[in-house]
Amino acid sequence: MVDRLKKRFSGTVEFRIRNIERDQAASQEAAGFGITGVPTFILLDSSGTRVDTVVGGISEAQLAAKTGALK
Amino acid sequence: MKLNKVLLWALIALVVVGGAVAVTRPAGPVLKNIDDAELARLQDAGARLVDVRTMAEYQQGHLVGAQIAPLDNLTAYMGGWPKEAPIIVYCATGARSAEAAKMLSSAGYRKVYNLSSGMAGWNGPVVTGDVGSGPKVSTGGKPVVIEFETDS
Repeated sequence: MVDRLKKRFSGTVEFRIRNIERDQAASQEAAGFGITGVPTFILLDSSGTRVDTVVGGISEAQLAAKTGALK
Repeated sequence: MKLNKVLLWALIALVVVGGAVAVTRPAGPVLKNIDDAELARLQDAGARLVDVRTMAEYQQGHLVGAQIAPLDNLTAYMGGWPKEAPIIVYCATGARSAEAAKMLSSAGYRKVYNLSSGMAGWNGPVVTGDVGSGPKVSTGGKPVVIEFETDS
């Protein structure tokens, strides 16, 4: 799903995938965001301010809508 | 006379056993509306405080010690919460949190409290600003979506 959204929003929104089991830095970053479950999506605007957090399953359409609203 | 004594002892035994059962039977589930004072008391006693509004509302101002769990995604957050521990939910006016309280109660959470007046009626301290936004993330001038995942 994220791969499709990456293509769809290519050039306008950056997608990053962090595996908290394999990457200690990712685990620490997740802890910094207060994440307690996976998958979790953190949505940041262009200034780096967190504007939304989605925990658990989300449909591609819903995530696309939230992504499209980012500025 | 002998029959009366037997009946009397039977009655006493019934009262004693009945009382013992009443004392040892676990209390039923709680689903209750509360006010500011009751919230403070429950929070001091260790209750989890949950804000079921949106992240944007939460960042504009929320109760001290509250964690965010937006109503439209509540089921994803609540999986890690112990069902015997008390949970207080609140929102802007008490409506969304009433729905959240019913969801939690239906899911087996035994001590659920709803701040019925919501943030609108709250007279206590509020934490404002971009609290809990997490680590500073470099974006290069573009919005970013980060997915945190595991292998399993």
